[in-house]
Amino acid sequence: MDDNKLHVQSHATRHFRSQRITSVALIPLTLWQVLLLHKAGLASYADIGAWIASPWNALALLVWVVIMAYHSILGLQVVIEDYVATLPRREGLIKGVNLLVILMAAATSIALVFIVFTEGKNGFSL
Amino acid sequence: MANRPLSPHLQVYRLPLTGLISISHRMTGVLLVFATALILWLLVAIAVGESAYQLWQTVMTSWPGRVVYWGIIYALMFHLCHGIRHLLWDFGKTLDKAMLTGYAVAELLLSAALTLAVYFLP
Repeated sequence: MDDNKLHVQSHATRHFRSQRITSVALIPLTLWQVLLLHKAGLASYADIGAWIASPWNALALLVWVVIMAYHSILGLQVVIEDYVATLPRREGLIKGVNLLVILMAAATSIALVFIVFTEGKNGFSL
Repeated sequence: MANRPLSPHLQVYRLPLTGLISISHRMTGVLLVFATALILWLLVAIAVGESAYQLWQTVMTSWPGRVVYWGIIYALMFHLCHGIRHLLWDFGKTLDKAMLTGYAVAELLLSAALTLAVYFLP
């Protein structure tokens, strides 16, 4: 586009675009989600700690957490918009769900960083 | 003010295969948010320590845990395959009416194959 106009996209356009971008990113990242769930069913604590703490796995999982959070927020938003008719309740529910997802992602990221820094060897054993 | 009622749809219409897949895509999407919560529990448990991890493992390797696990894996593969079909649609591909059910069946077979592949992971 060669014009000098400011291109402002609508909310819906941005949502559409972000949902597509996060979807494409999640296609390869799903592998790590599956591997993690698979290994957690059979690995020893030492083995799974070592697997998560290894740099590529930790990075992939961290990126997965962030992008999954964004993808979930976008997806849940359209679901709520479809089924909740009254506007204040809809907006409140969307904000509440967004907050929950963000808190979940933050907690997961912190746990991941902790595992990386302790090299999966010892937890802080509550 | 109560929520305005939704016109009945799922309870009323017998949906074609493509419609059933569409609503399943939405349902698996919502369910997978709970799968993400399960992973949150797992990673926090590993950060906390060995006994917390073993609790997760005991719960998830019990037979109800295995039902949940395979449910998540299938939901994930289903959502992934249909998501890819959405992306193809976005590029204007495979929208021909004649092949709609054909592609729907292909997509279901692929998600089943992927779920089976997970079964054979080392």
